[in-house]
Amino acid sequence: MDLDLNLEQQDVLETIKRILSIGEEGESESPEESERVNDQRWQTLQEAGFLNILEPGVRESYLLAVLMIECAEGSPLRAPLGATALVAPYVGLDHFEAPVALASGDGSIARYAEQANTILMLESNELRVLSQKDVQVDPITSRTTYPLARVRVRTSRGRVLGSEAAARMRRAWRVLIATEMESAMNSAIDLACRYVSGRVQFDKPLGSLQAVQHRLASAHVAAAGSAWLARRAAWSMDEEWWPAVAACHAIASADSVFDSVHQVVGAIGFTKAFGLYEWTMALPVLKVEMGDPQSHAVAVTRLRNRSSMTRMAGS
Amino acid sequence: MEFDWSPELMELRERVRSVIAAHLPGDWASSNRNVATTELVHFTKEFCKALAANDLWVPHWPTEFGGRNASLWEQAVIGEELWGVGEPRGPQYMNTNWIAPAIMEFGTQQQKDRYLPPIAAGDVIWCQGFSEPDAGSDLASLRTQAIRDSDVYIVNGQKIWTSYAHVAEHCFLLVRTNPAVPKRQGISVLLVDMDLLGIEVREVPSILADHAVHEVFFSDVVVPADCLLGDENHGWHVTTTALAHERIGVARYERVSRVVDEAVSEQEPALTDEAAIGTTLAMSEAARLLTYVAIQDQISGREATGSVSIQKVAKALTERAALTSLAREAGQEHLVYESHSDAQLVAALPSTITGGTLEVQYDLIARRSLGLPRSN
Repeated sequence: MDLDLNLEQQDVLETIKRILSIGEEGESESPEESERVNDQRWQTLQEAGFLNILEPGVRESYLLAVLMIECAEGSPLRAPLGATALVAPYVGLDHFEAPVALASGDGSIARYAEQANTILMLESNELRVLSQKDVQVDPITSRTTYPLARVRVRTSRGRVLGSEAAARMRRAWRVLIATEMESAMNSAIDLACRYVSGRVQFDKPLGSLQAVQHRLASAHVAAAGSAWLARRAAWSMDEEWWPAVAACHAIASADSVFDSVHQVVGAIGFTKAFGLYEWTMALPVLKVEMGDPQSHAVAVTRLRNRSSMTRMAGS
Repeated sequence: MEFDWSPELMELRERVRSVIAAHLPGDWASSNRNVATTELVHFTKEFCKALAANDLWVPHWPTEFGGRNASLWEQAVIGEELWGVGEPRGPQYMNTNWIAPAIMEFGTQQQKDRYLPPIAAGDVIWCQGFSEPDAGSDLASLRTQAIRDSDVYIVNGQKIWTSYAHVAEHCFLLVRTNPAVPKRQGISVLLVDMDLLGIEVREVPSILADHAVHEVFFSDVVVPADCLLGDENHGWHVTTTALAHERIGVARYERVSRVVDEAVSEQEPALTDEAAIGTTLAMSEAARLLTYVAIQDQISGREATGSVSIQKVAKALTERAALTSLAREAGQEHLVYESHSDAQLVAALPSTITGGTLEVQYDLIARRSLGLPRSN
């Protein structure tokens, strides 16, 4: 047990941070410029080999992938990094064309489906590997952070993989949403803290008021718990327990973090210029991305019950 | 960063489990630790002696005091297993976790010689004389007075909410030795024998358990001056150092997980709210990891990061969530004395108050972890 980053992890994260900060200054100039910078970051990550960071069977690499995604989700990069660099390689596909999107069934709404060359669709105990020609993708207008689209399967069912691949995808996807949610929550809390520290009302910074401090402290405890669970789950992605726990905790924490950060910053939180929505409006998407948000908590209970029964039987 | 327990720590965990299995009576319930009866105190002394005989009592102590400088991870493993079964060390967990370390750090040789061997043998009960009627969360406002008179202190005042006072042999007592300076600068620690003349212990009847909490009155109690721990008027530093040990040392998450397991397996097959149970278990695992983060901070020498407060809040909220979900599953049966959820009430209710309230922890997190401005 050692919860400090080792030298290799530090080096990798430093490099990734440098890539993610490419073009930081010019970013807000125009949507076209932002898109160009975003593409440049994605390309650089790809060329530097970070989309292939995961080595099957090597859990140090699972953790490194999650640390990278945590870092990227807290940056302005908008790209399906987790689906491409964590979920698809972990599932064990021989080959796939990046980028990758994840869908929870025929007719479901998925992030980055329009941009993806490969779509992994999880349907109960089956995993379908679909290419763009296999699906009809209809963009959805929404207030959320991500580009969303409804994915419908055309006549071809794509490549169908069995229950083992489906289980692997479910575990990795749970780790992914846990990671992206904790990163979004922590980024939102950071921004809210910076704002309330500088915003003076009643002749003092809002952040010096206990009512504000306690909401943010409570949110921080929840988000910190989710962050460590996501990392822990990455380490044990071959087990059912930790990924389910991590997804469950992140989803259970999201609403209160969302409420707290928006409440303490006030109306400016509704504006696009302030940018809080970049993190908070990711949360509703991630909560339901795999379907019923309660399903992870139910899975935790059933997994625990099963293992405690086994323990009792074996004792 | 990696999350594996070393083979040595896994072996240690198994060893703790086997000692527990050999020495814990079959009718031991995880709620027992809250009932500070004389019988329980006797049992815990016997149990702690068994731990000592198996090198599981004070391995984290320095070798000069009978330990072997075991890592904080080792201490964590032992703590998890013992809290998992309801902390059969009883009041003595305080002794090894923070009272003895405080004596090691701040005590005179004479104090070390006198107080540490009985603690190391698992054969002594201490209580902590901290809170007062007008000094709860604002502990530094304490008024129990100790006036130096030649080679003794004369102590007058009152403590409250003192657990184990009715059976304790010694008290780790906070007193005011200088009322003329800012309040944190005039506090000292006295190591007081509880059988001194002028000490009166009265139970405060509560809904938690018999003898859960007490008032302790000090009327012209004559305490030898060599019972002063650390320098006079430096007791705040001694105390905050000691409390940091206490807040990390309590593995509430392990007990909660096992209590929920037990309750849920009895509810099979029909659970009212599986999602709430799952969320409680997830909170418990988060509290576990946040505790490890605080331990890692200590190992890596990072101070005042707020991680100690974060794990304390996470553990307390887990206790409360477990209470809510167990009560919901039990329905009206949760009202029955010593049912799972009734026992959970006894554990959960004080968890957000003792050792620094949730609000005090939030204040510390706001400042230390989030860097928010002070409220002046």
